[in-house]
Amino acid sequence: MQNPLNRNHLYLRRKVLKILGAGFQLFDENDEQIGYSEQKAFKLKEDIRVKAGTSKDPSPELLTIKARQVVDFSACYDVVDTEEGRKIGALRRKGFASMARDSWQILDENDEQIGEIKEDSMTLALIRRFLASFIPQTFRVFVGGDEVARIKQRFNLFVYKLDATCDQPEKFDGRMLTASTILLAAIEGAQS
Amino acid sequence: MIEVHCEHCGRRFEAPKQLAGGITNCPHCGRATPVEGLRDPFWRLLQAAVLAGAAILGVILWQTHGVAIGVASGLGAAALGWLAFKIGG
Repeated sequence: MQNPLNRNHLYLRRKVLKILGAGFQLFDENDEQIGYSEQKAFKLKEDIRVKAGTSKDPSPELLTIKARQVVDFSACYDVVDTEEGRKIGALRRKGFASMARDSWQILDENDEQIGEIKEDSMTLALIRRFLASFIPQTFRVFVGGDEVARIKQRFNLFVYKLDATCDQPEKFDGRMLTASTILLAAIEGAQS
Repeated sequence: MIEVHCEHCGRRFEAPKQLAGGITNCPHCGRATPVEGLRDPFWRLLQAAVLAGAAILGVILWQTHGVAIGVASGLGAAALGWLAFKIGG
């Protein structure tokens, strides 16, 4: 059976009333909630579990996103399809490059780089960092040199929301799109 | 390379060091299994700082308050270093 998080369109919303840690809700293109995720506070190693359904109606775990190290400037996160019991890839944050412009490497299950995720433009990235953090971010996903997906932040001063769309699902796994969207919200979104 | 013991099929295989602390698929059963972590650099640094601090504090307290307090504070700080070592494993 296909993992319900294997999608080409996705919308993520960060929970607002969460004092410790963070919570994310995932919706499909019809605004139906398809999953949720909780990021625990005070966890030494980042360990994000993504479940189907809503938090009031708990369902089995579908994806696990786990950091390799406690503290790592270029942190690497392994993505596991919990239903299938297999690692499907990994995402590594490029530490130095991300200081100016958020950049991530997409790795396959054997840790070979297959693509990258980049913030849209260097100029806008610098403006966001030093002048106006409210300007929404857009992340472009490249696999094999082609742009295969886009993850766009919706303009909202109070709630962090991301729209993810993959145009070439044969090149970029929908589960990796979901994992990338959650990680960007959890790591980059926490800075904005 | 790091030796990995698959938690599902129990067979052993080798994984590259870059996967330390992470997850890999077992080449025998194909399921995801954790790779034992090497010592985390952050915790190594913390341990070194705590142990160096313990030594300095021990010497200062030994000079100002006598041997017993100096040794006791040094041991206390060393225990903290050991705790950091265990957590960072």
